Amino acid sequence: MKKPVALRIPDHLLSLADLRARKERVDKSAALRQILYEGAESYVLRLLSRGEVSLSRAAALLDLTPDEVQDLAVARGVEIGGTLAQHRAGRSG
Amino acid sequence: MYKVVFDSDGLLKAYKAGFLQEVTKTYTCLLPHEVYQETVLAASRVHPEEATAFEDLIRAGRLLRRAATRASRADRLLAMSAALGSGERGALRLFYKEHADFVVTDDRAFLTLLARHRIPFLTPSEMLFGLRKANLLSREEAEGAAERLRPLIRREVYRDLKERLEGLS
Repeated sequence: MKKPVALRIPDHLLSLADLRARKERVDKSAALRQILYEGAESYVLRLLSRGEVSLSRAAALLDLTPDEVQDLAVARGVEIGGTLAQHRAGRSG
Repeated sequence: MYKVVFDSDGLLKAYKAGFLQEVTKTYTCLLPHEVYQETVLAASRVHPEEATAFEDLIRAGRLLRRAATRASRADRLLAMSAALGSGERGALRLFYKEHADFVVTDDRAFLTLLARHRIPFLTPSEMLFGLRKANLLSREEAEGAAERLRPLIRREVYRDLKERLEGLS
């Protein structure tokens, strides 16, 4: 679901949206949404990597499946999964 | 036979690394309803061959779909964590409901909660090592699985797994 939100957007980001709109042949709003979504993906992947959200939560936040989130992390080269310390704790526990 | 509960992370990593079949022969594998929905049903949209593989295991009775009812102990722990999604929540509830032996996951946020509350867990890497140690996978099969797991786990975990597998050879 999409909801209208009033936002103050800096000029340089609007220029970037213009550039993207021309290059991708989409309207400016679509270009801005794409930029916003890419930022959201990067942010959620960072949270996932740090263990601040789980895979299932990350998937829900991005409206993707857990599988797609794993694929996205691999494509972006983001390390995911438990740390070695956690793995060792599991062995000794 | 140990009874294990998968979350989506554990299920997908074991599948993608290619040793889920072996796991389902070695453990009683429970699949929470939430994980079925977010991983198996959703896979039919993006990766149909993956969905078919999961459904085949379910039909064969090797992945047991279970609905988790509310479990007061799980709910108490979950109330303290906003980091988890429905899949991990379902897995924890099912772990208590079914008196399972392990949760299977390699999700950093979930592992933090499990370790903090001393809930036993198995990571896919540890399962792979266990299958090789028990000679249920050949050296080549285990090395191939570790390679497929590589992009999905931390570099330090991969290196540790490789060293431990080599130590068995």
